[in-house]
Amino acid sequence: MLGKLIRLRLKGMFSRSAGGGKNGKRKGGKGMAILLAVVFLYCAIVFGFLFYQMFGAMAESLYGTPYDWYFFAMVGLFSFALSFFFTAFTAKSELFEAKDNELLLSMPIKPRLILMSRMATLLLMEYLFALLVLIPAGLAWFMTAGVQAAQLVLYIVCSLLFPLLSAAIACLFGWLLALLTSRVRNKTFITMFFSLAFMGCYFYFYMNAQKYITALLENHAAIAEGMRGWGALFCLFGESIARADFGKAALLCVLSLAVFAGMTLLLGRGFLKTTSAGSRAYKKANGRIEARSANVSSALLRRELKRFTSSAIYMLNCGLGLILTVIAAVALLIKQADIRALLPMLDTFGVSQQDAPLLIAVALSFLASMDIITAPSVSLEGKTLWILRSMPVSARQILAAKLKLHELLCAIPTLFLSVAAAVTLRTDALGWAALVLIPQLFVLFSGAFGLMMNLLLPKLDWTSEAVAVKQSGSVLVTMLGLMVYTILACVGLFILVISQQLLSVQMYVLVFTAVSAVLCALCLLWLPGRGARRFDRL
Amino acid sequence: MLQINNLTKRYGEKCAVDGLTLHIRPGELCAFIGHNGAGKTTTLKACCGILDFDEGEILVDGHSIRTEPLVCKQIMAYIPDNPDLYEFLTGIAYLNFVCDVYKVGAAERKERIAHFSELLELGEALYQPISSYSHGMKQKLSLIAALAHSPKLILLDEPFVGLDPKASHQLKQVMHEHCAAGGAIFFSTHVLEVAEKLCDRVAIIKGGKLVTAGAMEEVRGNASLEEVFLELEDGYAG
Repeated sequence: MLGKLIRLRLKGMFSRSAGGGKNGKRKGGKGMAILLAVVFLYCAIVFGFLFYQMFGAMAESLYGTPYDWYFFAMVGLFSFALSFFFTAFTAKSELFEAKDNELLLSMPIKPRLILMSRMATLLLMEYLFALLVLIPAGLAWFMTAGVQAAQLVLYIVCSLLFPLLSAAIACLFGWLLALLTSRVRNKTFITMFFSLAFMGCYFYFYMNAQKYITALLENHAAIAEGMRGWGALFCLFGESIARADFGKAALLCVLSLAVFAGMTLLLGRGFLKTTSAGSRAYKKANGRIEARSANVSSALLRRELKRFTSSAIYMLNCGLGLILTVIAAVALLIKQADIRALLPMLDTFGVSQQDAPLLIAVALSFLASMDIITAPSVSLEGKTLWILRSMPVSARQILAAKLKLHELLCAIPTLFLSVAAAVTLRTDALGWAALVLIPQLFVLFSGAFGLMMNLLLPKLDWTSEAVAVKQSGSVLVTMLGLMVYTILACVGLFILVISQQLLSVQMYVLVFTAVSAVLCALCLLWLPGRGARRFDRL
Repeated sequence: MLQINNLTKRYGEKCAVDGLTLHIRPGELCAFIGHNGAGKTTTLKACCGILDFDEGEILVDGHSIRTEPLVCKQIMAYIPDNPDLYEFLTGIAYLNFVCDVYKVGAAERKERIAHFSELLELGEALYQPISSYSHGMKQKLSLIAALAHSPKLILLDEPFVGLDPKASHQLKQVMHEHCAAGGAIFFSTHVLEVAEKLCDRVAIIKGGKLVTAGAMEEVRGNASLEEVFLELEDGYAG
């Protein structure tokens, strides 16, 4: 039964569905599988490279010292932190908010088995994230120190069991969050608060990573000794592998298994209660009917806005760029002098300082492409699609509302950032025009492209919102497509302008803008015609 | 009010509705009965423009659902058997959204929402998120949403499922009043007693084909609707 439940869960995560089921034909999931593989490969390469460099430096510094165990302790700590960070919030939605919880709970299946199937899929995610650290770190060590059979075996065994710990802690966090949000009225606010706090910690660490790593290497003796207290488990992980201590490794494995099993038992007991807990705090009616009328497009737009703001997972995954944009704008205004001091560096690349606004305009465009609010917006209609379909509103109006929401939410922060950049660079009228217009074009392009992708790759049969927002084909393709476009633009800039000097910066930015405008226009032309017809057929 | 002419809908190889022809006039309350998978929901969905069909034509108040879908949708309402509503909205926010789309004025909507929410006893709950509603409450909310814009034609798929006895009684009353005022209702049901007592017309579908349709008295004759239905189900070879 557990196997069946896990297969069902994985199928739900990876299946590409939508309207295809209606005529009995299943659209192939091969493309989706390839796409997922490409995305994972991309992340694996980027993260792998970063961690390889980081742990390579650490391995060289620690190999042959009495603190070689500290290397593996840091590997354990980083893999734990990375997998916990990326799965903690997924744990809440996957375990306790899945739409099929009630269906499965009504069947003669033990609640614990349902929970275990969900925990198993979460564990799979833990492994994926942990491996991003464990593989490059392992490579870095064994290439520096050489391969010792016992060390390698223990590294593999401990690496296989250690993610059980982060999975257990992520499940505990998800459970506590689910309990907390079931007791308050504004669930979204609480989830957003925790998520942003998490993000803040992550970015703070990311920005200061180099400083910490240097400190870790310089003061490794003191930190390693201090770690024995707060990070005993990581020390155990480190010592088991570095000393090839089978006894300690066995202890670590037993501990990991015990913690995971204990968490399964603990959550299994309260699973039914947590999944069936409704919100206990509602606004009381004042006896009067609130009747506020609006025109059709405003009503559709308001509905889209409500949809967006009611889901923390939607806001965080598709609108995080908005927060970063505002932060970047404030940072630019605060650090104006420092930024201006950096401008002479452009001369070393053979780029005039006067062209800085053009390059910054392109950079701001890439930041704008991080907002993909439209990419899951059709999928999120899910089973409620019938409402719009039975109403006297055209597909064009519905799609326009989705795009308009993206524009409304993204255009203003991007404009703020553009103004901040223009003020910082003290640019002329042309610079102002480039800084304002090019990012705005990209805001429109990313919105239209995301919506088009969602119409081409809709996923309406989700059981957890997280699937539509995080794992659906449209979101992946939109993210990947815009990312590839970004990379190509950077490569083009490097080859055509800096390296070969075939184009001037002005000409390059003009070509980039023209290409983006054409792509944007193609998406905008597609949406009201073929896009609307596609929506009607969903 | 509703003219279904030679409606045919196929799902791949399977013909879900096969050449169905049925006319419902203003003021008529027509029950649509048939076994599970007979094609009732497919027909209703095709009538309200949710589902495209392969052959035939559907006219709502003289307008084609294919060529003038928005005109047709403006004058009708549809309630599915399992109303999945926007769980991120409160009941009142949902009703306001529906009224906005159907262009119902503020005073009018206030009066109608107050009237129907009182009738169906959903007043207090309107300010709670739909995610906290039971199936019956969602059914009531979708009924209020359907009635709030005074449609000429109402299409209902199993409307009595999930409703408590009082709400069920009030719905029947509302259905009668709607038809008495010149509107039309076409609804599917498995509760033959309700169809028999409530409706002036009945249509029976089997395997996607219309077996019989007509005035209730004509269809059932001296027997009960249940007897006629079972006889037709067993005997009709299609």
